[in-house]
Amino acid sequence: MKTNDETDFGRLIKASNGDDDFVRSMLQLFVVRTPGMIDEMRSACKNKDFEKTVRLAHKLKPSVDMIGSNKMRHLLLEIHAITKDNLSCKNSPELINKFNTQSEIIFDLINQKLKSKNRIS
Amino acid sequence: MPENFNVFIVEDDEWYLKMLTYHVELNPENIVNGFLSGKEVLNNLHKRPDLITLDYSLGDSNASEILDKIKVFDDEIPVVIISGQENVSTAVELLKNGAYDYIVKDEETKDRIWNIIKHLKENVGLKKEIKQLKKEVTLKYDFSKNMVGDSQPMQLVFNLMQRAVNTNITVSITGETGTGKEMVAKGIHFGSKRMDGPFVAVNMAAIPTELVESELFGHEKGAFTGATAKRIGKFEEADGGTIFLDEIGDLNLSLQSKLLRVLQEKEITRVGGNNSHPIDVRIIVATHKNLLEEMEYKTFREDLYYRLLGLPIKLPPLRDRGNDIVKLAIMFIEVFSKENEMEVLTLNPDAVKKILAYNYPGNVRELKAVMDLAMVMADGTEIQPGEIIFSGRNPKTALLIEEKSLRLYTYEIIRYYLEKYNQNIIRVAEVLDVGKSTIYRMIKEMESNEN
Repeated sequence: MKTNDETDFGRLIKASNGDDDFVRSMLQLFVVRTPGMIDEMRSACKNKDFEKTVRLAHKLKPSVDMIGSNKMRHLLLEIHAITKDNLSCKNSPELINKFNTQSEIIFDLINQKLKSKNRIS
Repeated sequence: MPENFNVFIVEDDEWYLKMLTYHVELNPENIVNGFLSGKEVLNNLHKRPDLITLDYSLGDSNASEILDKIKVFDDEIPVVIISGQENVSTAVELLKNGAYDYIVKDEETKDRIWNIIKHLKENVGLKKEIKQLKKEVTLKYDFSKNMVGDSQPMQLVFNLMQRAVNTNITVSITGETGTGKEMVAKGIHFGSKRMDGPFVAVNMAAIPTELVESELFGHEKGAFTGATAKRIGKFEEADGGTIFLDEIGDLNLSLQSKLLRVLQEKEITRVGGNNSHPIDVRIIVATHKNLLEEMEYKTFREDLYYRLLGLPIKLPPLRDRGNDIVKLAIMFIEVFSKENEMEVLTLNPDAVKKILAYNYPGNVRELKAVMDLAMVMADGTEIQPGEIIFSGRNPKTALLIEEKSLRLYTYEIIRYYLEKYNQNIIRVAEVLDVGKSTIYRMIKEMESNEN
């Protein structure tokens, strides 16, 4: 199910077995917990803790996959690859900022969906 | 009612933890406890989960370390590692260290966990069944509770069995057919430290001569015509447990030397193979033959005899077990009643006399058959003498199976009648139609022989 151009909740909806409450609670949790993880990733990168940066990028991947944001997914893969391979965060801050910007777009879309009383699934 | 299956999910990403929990709990039998750190899960191991899924990249700790600590706590708890990335060398290392499985976080993760839970539930069911069966078998062969015998010869047998249980010594059991040699072997195995290992019984007399070697030691593929695949033998099958070699006296000389080598080297070589395989097996042998005589006839190797002799246990024939016969008869009645959901019958006093008067050439096995038949034939609540039917060998000919000398049979007859007529020599001489002096002479001879 294509939700819009930025996201596709199809995988999440499929995984929910038609339980709309579950879909809503997962989207809610995504909106609540992701900003903190982005902050952590930014901070780890700043402190040259490359291992933690890679680990956090890893952690974010399954949820980003599930909400079907290809842009966020590609940015995460880039952050992961650059940080891991170069053992440096040289280009990562810029990528993390891009990821943050993209995530805010997705949060807005999700919040709109959550406000609506229509079924998401 | 299905039992709950407790799953611990260890995942420091709250979002993914919630996702997995939801999926696992789609089956209401599954109860999930979620943990955001390795430390938390280690503090809860006492709850004994049926499965732990462990995220490979936890913030607070290394998955390998957590796995090691779980395995130290309880090696039986299956741990599945869930990793964000497929890394073959890491997976192999974790599996070597005792992880049950290694799966990657992707769309199929939840289905894989479901399959793992399904397999584990089947395994848990089977393990419980095996545990229960082992418990039942152990109880069944607990000789202190289940082997009947208050007679002096049987008390001696129990004493020797107890000594065998406490050590790893080879045991050689002798006794007439039907005296319960295999029962004694099982009693020793299931009472010993090897009770959780296999008990493998091999009857040498029942295997065609040309197959004995392959049966005992196994064979490699192509070792002989028809050997289409590798096959392990009874010795390897019994590794960690006990092998019971029944009718060892029937083993031919060529195989006796091979067996001797196995006993000396504690390793076997499969037929057609070049490599030897170490084995840890307790050996119990049995025979109804007189191996000392077989040695004299050169049909049994002397060196093997002494190696197998170990702790010798001689099982008495049933006719020498006095009142054990009645106790055994009552036990067989009870077992038959239980197995056939019948009322437990009693023995009429004359029936008791009848079973005590018989000499049981087929020993305990024969008594069991007689009592089973009596239970079927009985009309009332009491077994009558007429319902005790000895269909085995004629008691008269049965007496002769021991093949004693004429002199020894004569002594037995004299002893029997002296006891019957309260040591009244005149009466015994009359009954046997011999002179008193003959009886006196025999008594003197018996006494001097005994001395």
